[in-house]
Formats: sequence, structure tokens, C-alpha cells
Amino acid sequence: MGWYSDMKRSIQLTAVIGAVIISILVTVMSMRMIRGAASSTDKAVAKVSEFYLKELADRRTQVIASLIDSKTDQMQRAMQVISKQDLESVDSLRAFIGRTELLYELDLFALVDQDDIVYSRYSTYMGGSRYDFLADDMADNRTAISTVYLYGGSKHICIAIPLSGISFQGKKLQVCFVEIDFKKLADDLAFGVENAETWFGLYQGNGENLISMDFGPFDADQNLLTATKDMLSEDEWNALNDHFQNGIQGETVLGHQSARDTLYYVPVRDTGWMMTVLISGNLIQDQIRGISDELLRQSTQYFVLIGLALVVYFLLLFLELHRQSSRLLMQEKKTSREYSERALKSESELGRYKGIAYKDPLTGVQSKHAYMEKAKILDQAIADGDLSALAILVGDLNGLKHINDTIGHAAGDQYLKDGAMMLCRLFQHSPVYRTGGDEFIVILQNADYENRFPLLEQLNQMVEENISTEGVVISAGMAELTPEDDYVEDVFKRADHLMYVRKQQLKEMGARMRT
Amino acid sequence: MKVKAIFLALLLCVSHCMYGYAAEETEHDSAVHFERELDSYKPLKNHYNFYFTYKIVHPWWDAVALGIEEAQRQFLEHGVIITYEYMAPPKTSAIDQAERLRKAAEGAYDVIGVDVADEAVISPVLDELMEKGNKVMTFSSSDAASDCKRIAYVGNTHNVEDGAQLTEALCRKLNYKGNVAILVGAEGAPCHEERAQGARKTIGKYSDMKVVDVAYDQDSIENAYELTKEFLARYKDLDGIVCCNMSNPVGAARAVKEAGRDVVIVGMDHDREALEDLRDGIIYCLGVQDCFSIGFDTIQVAVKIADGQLPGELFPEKTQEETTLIYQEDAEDMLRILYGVVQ
Repeated sequence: MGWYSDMKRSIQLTAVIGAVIISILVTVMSMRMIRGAASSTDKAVAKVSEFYLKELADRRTQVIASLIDSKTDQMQRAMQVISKQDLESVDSLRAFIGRTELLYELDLFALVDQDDIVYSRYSTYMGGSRYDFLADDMADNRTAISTVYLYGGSKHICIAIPLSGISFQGKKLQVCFVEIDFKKLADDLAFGVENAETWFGLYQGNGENLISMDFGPFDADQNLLTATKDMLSEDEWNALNDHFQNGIQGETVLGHQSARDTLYYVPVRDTGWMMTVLISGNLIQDQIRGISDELLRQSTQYFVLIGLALVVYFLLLFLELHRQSSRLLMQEKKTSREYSERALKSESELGRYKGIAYKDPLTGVQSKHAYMEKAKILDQAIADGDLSALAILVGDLNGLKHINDTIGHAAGDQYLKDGAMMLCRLFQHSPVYRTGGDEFIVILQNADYENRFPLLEQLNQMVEENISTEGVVISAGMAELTPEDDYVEDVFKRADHLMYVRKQQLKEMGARMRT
Repeated sequence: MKVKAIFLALLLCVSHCMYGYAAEETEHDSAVHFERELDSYKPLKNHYNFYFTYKIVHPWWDAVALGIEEAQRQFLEHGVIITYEYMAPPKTSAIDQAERLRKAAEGAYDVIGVDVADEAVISPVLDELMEKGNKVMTFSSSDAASDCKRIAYVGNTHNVEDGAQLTEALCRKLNYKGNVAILVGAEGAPCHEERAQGARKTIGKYSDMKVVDVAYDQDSIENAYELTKEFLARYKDLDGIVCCNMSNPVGAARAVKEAGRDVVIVGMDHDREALEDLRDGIIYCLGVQDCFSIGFDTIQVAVKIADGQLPGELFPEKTQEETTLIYQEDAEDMLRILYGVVQ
């Protein structure tokens, strides 16, 4: 019963430990997944924000670039069709400029001569102190885009292209340009607020707002770089400054009050301006977080269900294991019992068979096989030095063949039994073996060994008396174990030799066969 | 934003009441009035052509030009086309201005307007043009001589007072003791000379104050810078500089900053660099003229003159425009109002 209880406890313990380990694994995996999900959400927000903002900024940047290209193209086409008549007088030039403005829906289109005199639709004025681009060398025939700061705070874009081969009133016309109010551009491009949480802006590289519109938390007249100084670390702010001044696109997260907004900025080609998009940190994050939370909730439910299923599974497994182990143990117990019974039975039969094998069936003394087994044991004892007192008596029944031949085997068998009986009665403390047809061996140990000589004398006396009475005549020779003997066989040989000597003596004494 | 604007307006009103001269005669709530609208006058024609000339190509007159453009735009909205030329030489020159005026007289201009470079030289030219039948007006900051026959003037009518008020502020800052140098713009330019005159007069009131030098920068910042460096080198005990035009305070501030000297600078106008120096405490105060209104009113008066109207009920012989003293605390708002910039 103890073994059975131990086994049962082991199986139960294994099941419980297995359940606990798997439960811990599932819990750890769940927690890791939840943490991983949060981290993945943040990464996703960053990626989506970047993509979303880039897309928005790029789209508007392209619109501005297209606008610049379009205006440049329009100016080039206008100057291709200017005629001599258009250049005859200030009035005709103004008329040409007016037609061009109407045709291309330009706010202000103007030509500039070599003395920086600006010819517009309604006026002629000095442009040197008003338009910085007139001081630039436009010999490289490239479109010049510049910002004009007007007294009063408004800012305009000037897109200028160089002219060649056109003169007016004896002076070379060197540049034509269109001037666009940034505020109008911002209105056209839907700057400002895209929705409640997305804003667009256009800034100079030095952080000045070009479109005079609020940009998220920043007032229209605030310098973006100055305004963001307290919202960024020193390194982040320096990077932002560097990006603005060198026209490098980038992204940064602005922390103000409790919100964290993402600012994305991309330079507008050839202008020195920075297109900016500001998106409330919560907009994308909230949406993605909502999806993520829903997924997380579902995942949590799955894990709970899996956990419950595992608990049920392990409970059932535990019960089944318990049942199976009980059944197995019962079976094992039964098998063991049967085996034990069979073993016991086999042992019994073996003993019986062994008894049969070790016992001479005729005389009832031990057989030659038993003697040989005993001799092995004794040999081992001699080898081990554990045996020093031993004597072997070899006895041979005289006249057995004569009895068998003359009286019959039944008389011969009886003669053998009588001989065995004589030895057994005489050597009561020693095993008697029948090792051949009429040959017996007695192993003398202990008390019989101590009395070996009187016992031998008594045997010989009885035998000599039986000669005359035609009783059992046994020729007996006895030898003792000596230190020189390695085996029982050595003792046996000496005893056997003495037995033949005795046999000769008895024959001379007239031993006869029983009739 | 609105709160700031109201605050600035109140501030400017208070400063104007304390030191102002124009405040007694005009109502204003800011140094510059950008929200102007045409008066109720109905032009007699639907197209006018004007010629204007001024002292020198300079941002100050670009500010005036914006007022002109706004008035032109508003007339256009009423179906009245105004075309004009608004011309100046790269360097101040009364001779150049006289030539331009005579040439303009040959053109088909309804009115010729001039910001007088030198009243002694230009006033006779204007009389000449008037005698030839041209309609002539003066505008901006410099009128012609008082006996000139020009029809009307629109602009700063109180240059002497401007110079005096600026200098008064400087004297007060110096506790009415010290040596002062005066930077002037173009020699002969009435507005510049008058401000210098007002400065001398003010300093003359105080026995412990003295004008140690006077120099003309010819409306050049670089010249103003060099002249100030000379002042600083020559007068180790120089305490203040009065600047009478727009380029003076910019150049003076550059030199004083460079030298690291403690010299009080007062000056004129609204140059962005000067406003930044005001904000940074390099310049003590600036007199800001309402250039936008000068330009706007010049067109309104020119239209009336073109229609044959004379000074009287429709417009005064001299349309006064304001000058407002502003100090360090006003600089940020002025930078925002004039340049849309907040640092």
C-alpha cells in the first residue's frame, strides 16, 4: 500500500506542477503580449503618424511647388507674347500687364528694369528697397523665390524669372515677377486647421510664420523656433533649428501642457520655407489605441478562455491520470500478486523438483547431484579458508551384482535400501549420498567428524558381523581434509583408495553375498 | 491678441498724452493705422494719373507706398482707376529731384506730389510747375517753404516737435546732464533739419547739457555707423545721441553696441533693426510716424486736387499725420504690428 500511495502522489504532483508551469507560461506570455501590444501600438502610432504627416505635408508642398512652377510657366508664356506695341509706352505696358494678370488670374504681375524700377498694372515704383531678390544676381537664369515682408506685417511670395532681350524706354527689362499674398495662398491651400486636431503652417527657415495664421497652440505671429524652445530638450531644439535653417525634413514631438503633439516639417523646394504639419498626439494615438485596446481586449478574452480551457483540461487530465493510475496500480497490484503467487508456486515446485533431483528415489538418501552441489559449496569454503574440519567416507556395497543376478533386482534394491539405512543410522548428523549403483558417500562434519573414528570402527564391526549373517556388507574408506587439499575431490580420492583397501580386507574375511 | 492690441493702444495713448503734440489734434489708438477707409468724397473722374517723387529709395517710403496702394485699391473697388509713378533716386539729391519734377511736368499727370529733398532748391521748382498749370502737392515728412505755391501738404507737420520730444526723453533719461551728439539725415531735407532744430532747442534749455557735434548721414545706415564711431572716438564723455531720420538710429546703435559704450540713443521711425535694438535696450526710444496713413491720405488729397478742389472743407492745407514715441516695452508689439514678427 505504501508504494501505491507514493506512486499516486507522484502522478498527482506531476499533474499539478505541469498545470502550474503551463499556467505561469500562459500568464507570462499574456503579460508579455500585453506589454508588447502597448509597445507595438506606440511604434505603430509613430509610424502611422510619420506616414500620415508626411503624406499631408508632401501633398501641400507639392501643391506649392506646382503653384510656383505654374506661375513661372505663365510668366514665361506671357513674356513670349509681349509685343513691340506693348513696350511703346507706360500705358501700353500697363495694359499688357493688366491683360496678363486677368488671363492668369495673377494678383500682381510686374516687370523690373535695370534701375530696379517696377512696372505694374497701375503703378511704377522703385523696387530696390522693397524686393530683396532685385539685389541678387539672376544671371544663372533660375527662378528666384523670395519672401517680401511688408510694412504692416503681411508677407508675400515673389516668384521672379530673369528676362533677356527686352527693353522698355531704352532700359533693359531684367526681371518679371508675380507677387502672392501668403494669406491668400494659405486660404487657397486650406492651411490652418485641417480638422480639430491637425494644423498646417508655412514658416521661414528662421521660424517666422509666413501665412499669418495660428498654427495649433502657436499664435500667428509667434516664431515657431522660439515658441518651441520650452517644449523640447536642448538637443531636440538644436536639431529642429538646424533642420529649419538648412532645409532638412524631420519630425519631433512637442510637449505642451498635458498634450504631446507631433510636428512634421518638410522643406518647400527652392524657397527656404518649411511646410509644417502639426497633429495632436492624441488623434492617431487615440484611434490606433482604440483598435489596439479592442484587439488587446479580445486577446485577453482569448487568454482567459485558453486559461479556463487549460484549467478544465488539466482537471480532466488530473482526474483521468488519477483514474488511470489507480487502475494501473490496481492492475499492477493484481499482476504482482499473481506473479508472487506464481513465483511462490514455482518456488515450491522447484523445491519439489529440486528435492526429486537431489534425492535418490530408491534409498531416500541424497543423490549424486546433491553431492556434487554440496562439493561445490565445500570447495568454495576450502578456497575461502573457512573449512578445516571435514572427513569423507566412501562406502561400497559388496555383492550387489551377485544379488541382482541371482535373486533379482527387487532383492538388490532392498539390499541398497538396507545399506543406506545402515549408514544413515550410524552417521545421524551427516548427509548420506548415493553416488553410484552401489556407492555411497558420507560427508562428516561437526559431531560426526569429531566421532569419525569410533563411528568408522562401529561400521566396520557391524559389517564384519554381517559377513557371517549375510547382512549388509559395506566396504568403507575414510579420509580427512588436510591443509594440502584444495578440493573435496582430493579427500574423496584418498577415502576411495582406503575403501578399496577395506574391500580387499573384507573379501579376505569371507564376505559373502546374501542369498 | 486683442488684449495685447488694446493694451498697446492704451499704452501708446498714455505716452502720447504725456509727451504728444499730435495727440491734441488727432485721435488715434495706435502708432500706425492700417485699417483706413476712403472718406465720402465722390471723385469726378474714373481715372487719375499721379506722379510722386521722394527723397531716396528707402524702406520708409516703401511703408508710405503701402498706404498709397491701399487707397488705390479702395478707389478701384469704387470703379476709380488710379495710376501713378512713385519714384526716387538712389541717393538724396535736390538737383535730381528738381529734374524729375520738371520732367513730370511734361507728362500727363493730374497731380505731381513731392517729398521735398531741400526746400530751398525745390520750392522754386514747385512754384514754377504751378505757374505752368501743374497741380502740385507735397507729402511725406518734408513740406516746401512756407511761401511755396504748392496746393497742399500731407504728412508730418511737426518735425520740430518730434525732434524736441525725442530729445526731451533723452534729457530726462540723462537726468538733464551730459554731452549729446546729433545725427541728421540729408542736408537741407526739411524734416531732418527741423528735427535737429528741435533737438538743439531742447538741449539748450538745460544748462548742464551740451551739443558736442552734429553730422549728416545722407540717409545711409553705413554713414550713420561710421559717424557714430567717430563721435565715440572723439568724445569719451559722450552721453547721448539724437537721431533725426530712419537710418540714423540703426547705424548709431550698431556702433554703440560694437564699442560697448553706455550711450543713450533716441531716434526716428520704424526700421526693423532699430525696433529690435529698442527691444534689446540699445535704443532708448523711437518716434514712429504713421507712414501708412501718409500714403493713404496723399492719394485721397491728390484725387481732390486733381478734381480742382482746393484746401478748405474737403481737405486741409496741411494734413497732419501722427508721430508716436515708443519705448522698450512697446517694441515687441510694434515688431509684431509692423513686421508680423515675435522673437
